[in-house]
Amino acid sequence: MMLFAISLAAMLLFGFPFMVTLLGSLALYIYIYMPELAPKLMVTMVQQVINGVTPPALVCVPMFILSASIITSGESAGRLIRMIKAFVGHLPGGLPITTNVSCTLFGAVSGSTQATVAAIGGTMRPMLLDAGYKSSFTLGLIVNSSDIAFLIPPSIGFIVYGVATSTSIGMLFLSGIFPGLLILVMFSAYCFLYSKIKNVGQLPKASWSEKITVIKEGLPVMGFPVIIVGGIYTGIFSPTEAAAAAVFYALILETLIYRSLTKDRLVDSFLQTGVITGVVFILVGAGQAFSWMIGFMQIPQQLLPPLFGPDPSMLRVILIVVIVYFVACMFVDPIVAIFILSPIFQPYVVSAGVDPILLGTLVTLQAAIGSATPPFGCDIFTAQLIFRRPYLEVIGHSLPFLLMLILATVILIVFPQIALWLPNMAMGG
Amino acid sequence: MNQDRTQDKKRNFFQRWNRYIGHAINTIEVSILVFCVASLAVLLIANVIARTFFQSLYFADEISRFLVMLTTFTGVSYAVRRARHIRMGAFLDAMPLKMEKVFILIICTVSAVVMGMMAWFSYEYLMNAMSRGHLTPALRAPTWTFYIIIPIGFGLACIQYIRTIIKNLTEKDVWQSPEQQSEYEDEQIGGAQL
Repeated sequence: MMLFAISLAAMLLFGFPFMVTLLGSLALYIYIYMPELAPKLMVTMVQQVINGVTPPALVCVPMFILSASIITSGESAGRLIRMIKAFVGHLPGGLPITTNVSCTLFGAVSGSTQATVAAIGGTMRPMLLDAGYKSSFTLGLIVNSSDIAFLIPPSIGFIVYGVATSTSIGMLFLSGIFPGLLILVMFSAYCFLYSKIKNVGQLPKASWSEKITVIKEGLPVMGFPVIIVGGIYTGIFSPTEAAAAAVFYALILETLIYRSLTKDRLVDSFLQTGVITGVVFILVGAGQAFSWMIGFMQIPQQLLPPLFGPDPSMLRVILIVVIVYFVACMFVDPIVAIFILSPIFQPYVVSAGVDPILLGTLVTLQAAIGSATPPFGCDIFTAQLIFRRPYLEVIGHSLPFLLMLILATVILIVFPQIALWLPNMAMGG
Repeated sequence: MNQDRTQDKKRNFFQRWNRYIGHAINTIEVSILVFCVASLAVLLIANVIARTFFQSLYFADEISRFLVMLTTFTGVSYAVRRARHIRMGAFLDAMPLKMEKVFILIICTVSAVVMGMMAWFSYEYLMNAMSRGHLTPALRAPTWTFYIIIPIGFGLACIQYIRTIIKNLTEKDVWQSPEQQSEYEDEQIGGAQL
């Protein structure tokens, strides 16, 4: 057990691929403690990897990635930004607020944090720098507002949580919308105050004719949230069907309406989607093998009672879970963390009286926060990769955003209705 | 291109074959990935249309499962070759180059062993499935055909890790994968140059 934990932590920190970390420490454990059973258990592990990769609900993931990839390489992001800028650009903090709103909407369009960092961040950062914002502010802003995308449907975090715990993915999608908007408002207020105090970056007000032009150009992009959220809310689409519809819409939008999609770019989108799918799914498969093994070793039974203490209150349970996910997601990719931790905690936490959908929202929010938190949040490395800036510059302005995100978590724990209102409405409750 | 060819002459027999095989594997992997994602998209879109106007395609679930598995395990080996697997590289990046090289050698050795084991046991799993001879519910195809790609994918991933080791031993620079010197090069991120 100790050996297992040590090998896991060491491989993680020294930069082993997560896939190898998970499968390798499992194999090590099996061969040291159960050598006579090893061949059988290893075959079972293969079986678990297959089980992890093939649940029908996961089929929507490559489709959401594909639609994100198609529009990220196309014109949608730029048009979306121009549209929002025309409306809020003249306010104090207009450009950072544009970034916030664009990230939120692009999250609704693409469902991928990395696509959001690349598409919105890549466009907004030069504009923000021109307007006189400090580099570390722009990076902190982009990394953290892209994390809102994790809460806005279609979010891969929700899909993975839903698959791992058999919770309705559609309901989880709906539960993320208002918490996401709450964070958007908090971030925007911060940007407003920051820019007012530092007195930077105000743009001239756009005229009405300009506004109408950019709306005409940008409005079709808003079809994505309508298809995905509307389709799931009204029950027309399952998440997989919504994903297929999103791909269809992305193809139509970029070929017929914006005419920006070339054959080469389409093929490249297919390839990139395939690679990302492989990388993500093998992690989900390895995670499945891992959580099966954890169940087999009866780790939850050993770990949870001392962690929660005797007869814990609901608040204590929630706080512990939130902290565990937050810390885990600082070190591990959120998908892996959610997939491995959720089956351990979910039964216990739900039996303590916490709504499974609220739990999913909180967990996904923590995954978003953890992955943007120094020193190890993986979004920081994404930003480093995309903008090629030194590490310290990327994390230089994280603290205010981190504090706001923690505040959002507290608000969500105190007022769970923020998350639960919309799914309850959809269920007709 | 010309320079490429003169370099090619300087390479010995082993290195040249390594290159040819690399090209062939690249072509095959890329075609599988592109084909799978494209057909998955077509299938799912067709299914939505069919469900709306007629009835769901009875084979859609099964084929999409098959395509997802094909994509996943092809992607595993492609991602090793291009150093795309998710990992936490913070410490590794901060190390001095010589130490980084030692660590990469260790990582690749362990990874190759783990992938090799996975390849071996998934081959056994495949053999088990073949001997049981189950058929899939909708298409009445033998279940084991779904699993062929798994040992191949893990096996190729193992070979790519071994290639990385060889590359690092024969050349002075640090190589993250047989075809990628650092994680940050050659990454085309669409939209970033908008």
